[in-house]
Amino acid sequence: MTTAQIVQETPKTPISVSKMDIEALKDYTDQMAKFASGDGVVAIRICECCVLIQD
Amino acid sequence: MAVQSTHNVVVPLEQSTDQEGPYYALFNSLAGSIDVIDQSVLEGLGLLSPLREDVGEYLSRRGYLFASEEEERGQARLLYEEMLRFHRATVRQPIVVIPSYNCNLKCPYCWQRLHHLDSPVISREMVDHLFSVALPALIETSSPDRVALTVFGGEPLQEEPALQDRVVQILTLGKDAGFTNGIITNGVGLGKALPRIVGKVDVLQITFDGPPDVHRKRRPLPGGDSFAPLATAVSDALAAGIRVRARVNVDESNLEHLPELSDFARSLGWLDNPRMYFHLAPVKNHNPRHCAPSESELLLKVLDLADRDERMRAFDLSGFGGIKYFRGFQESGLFSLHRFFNCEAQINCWVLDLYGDLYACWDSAGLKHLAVGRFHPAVEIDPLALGRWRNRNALDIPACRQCAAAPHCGGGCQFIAYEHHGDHAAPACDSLLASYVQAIGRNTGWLLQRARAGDHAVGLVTRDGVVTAVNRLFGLLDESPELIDAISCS
Repeated sequence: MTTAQIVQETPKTPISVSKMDIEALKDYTDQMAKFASGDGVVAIRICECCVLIQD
Repeated sequence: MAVQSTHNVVVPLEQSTDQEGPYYALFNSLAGSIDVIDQSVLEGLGLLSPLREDVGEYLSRRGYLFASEEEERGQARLLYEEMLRFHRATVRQPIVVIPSYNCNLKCPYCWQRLHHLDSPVISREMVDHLFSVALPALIETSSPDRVALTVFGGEPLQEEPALQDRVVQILTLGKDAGFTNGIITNGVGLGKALPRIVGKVDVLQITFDGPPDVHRKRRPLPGGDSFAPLATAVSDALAAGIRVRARVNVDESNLEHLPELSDFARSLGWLDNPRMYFHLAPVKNHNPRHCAPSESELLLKVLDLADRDERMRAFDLSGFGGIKYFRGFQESGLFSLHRFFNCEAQINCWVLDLYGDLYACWDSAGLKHLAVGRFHPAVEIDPLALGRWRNRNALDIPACRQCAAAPHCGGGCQFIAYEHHGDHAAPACDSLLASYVQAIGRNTGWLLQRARAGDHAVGLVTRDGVVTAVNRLFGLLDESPELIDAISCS
C-alpha cells in the first residue's frame, strides 16, 4: 500500500459488537435474526452443531 | 490511557513480506473483528501511546482497545446475555430422545462404554408421555420447525423388534408435531430399518472411521462386519432422499487412512451427491487416566495431510471450530459468534431417556448423578443441577478470563471438564484458538485482498493511517444479503 492511496474517514459510531450499548446490540441481533429467517443455503456457522447443508 | 483487549490475537501474514510488508492479522474473538496492520501499528499497539489519533480511534471502535479492563468485562457480560437471547430465538432447540443405551459396537474410544452404559428399550407408554406431557413443558419455541429432534443411543437402529417399534413411534410423533427429525446411528442396522423410517427422518448422522478395514478395527461389531452393511445402506438412504452427515472420528491412528476413505466414497458416487456431507471430528479424550496428544497437535497433522493429499478435500474440517468459524467469516464478512458459552447444554438442550430421566447434555445422559430432573411421571427439574450446566460460561471460569479464545470456545466442553476435573466450572481447552491461527495464516492472500479492497470484511491500518476501514456492521451481507439466506443448526 502506498502513501498515495486515500486514507478513509472512519465512522464515529461503534463498529464492533463489543462496543455497543444494549440498544444498539439488540438492533444488531434483530438484523441478524432477519438474515436467519429466510430459506436456502445455510452458511453462517454460529455454534458447535452447525453444519453446511445445501437444502 | 487505553488498554488492549484481552482477546486480541496477532498472526503474522507470512506471504506479505514484500516491499509493503510485513503485515499482521489483528484478530479479536470478542469483537469478531479482523484487520490487517503493519509493523508500525503492531508496535504502537504494544505501547499504545504512539498510535496516531485516527488509528487509535478506529482500533477502539473495532474492539481492540478499551478504556479499562473493567469496561471490557462489562461489555463482555452484556454480549453474553444478549447472544444467549439471540441464540435462543434463532437456533433450533435440540431435543434428544434415547430409546436405549444398548449398542452393538464396541468402539474403544466411546465414552458411554467407559461408563458401562447398557439398558432395555423405552416403553411405548413412556414415549407417549414424552410427547404429550414432557415436550410441551420443555420446548421454548412456538414454531415446531425450530425444534431439532434427534434419536440417539446406544444404537437406535438395531434389529430388536421393540426398539424398532419405538424408533418408528418417536419419528412418527416427531413428524406429526412438525419437528425436524434426525437419527444418530452406526449404520449397521440402517439397511433393514430404511423401509420403516423413510419419510419420517430428515437427516442421518453416521460415523465412518476410515476405509473398510480401518473402520472394522476401530468400530468392531462382535461376530460381524460393521462396514459392509453400513456402506450399502448409505447408498440406499441417499437414493431414498435422506440427507447423510458422515462424521469421521479422527485421531492419529486413522488419520493417514482417510485419503483411502475418500477414494472409497468417490467410487460409490457419494462425493458428488449433494445429500452427502463428510466432516472430520477430533476424537475427544473422555478418560482422565488416558494421556492423549492435544487436539491442536492433531489439527496440525490434519492440515499437513490436507496439504499433501488432495483427496482430503472430501472432508470438511468443521470439527475444528476455528476452521469452521473462519470459513463463515469468509462467506459473510462477519463472525456471528461472540458468546462465552460452548454448546446448547448451556442454553436449551434437553435429553430425555428411557427411564424418564432428564439431562442437559447428550454426553452426560445415562449418568444418573448428572441428571437435571425427571419427566416421568411429571416434569420435575432440579434447579441446582440444571444451573450447573445452564449457568456455566467462560466469563465465570477463572482460568478462562485472560484467554483470547474464551468468547468463542466458552470454556470448552463442560462434560469433559467434569470428567477430568470433577467440576463443571473447570476449563476444557480444545483446538479453537490454534485452528483460528491456522485458518488466518493459511488465508493470508485472501485477507490482504479483502483489506486492500475495502469491502467491509477486513480493514487495513498502516503507518499512513486507516487505509481501508470496516464501517459496516454486517460485513459482506450489507451489500449482498443473498449470500446468506438462513442460519441453521441441524
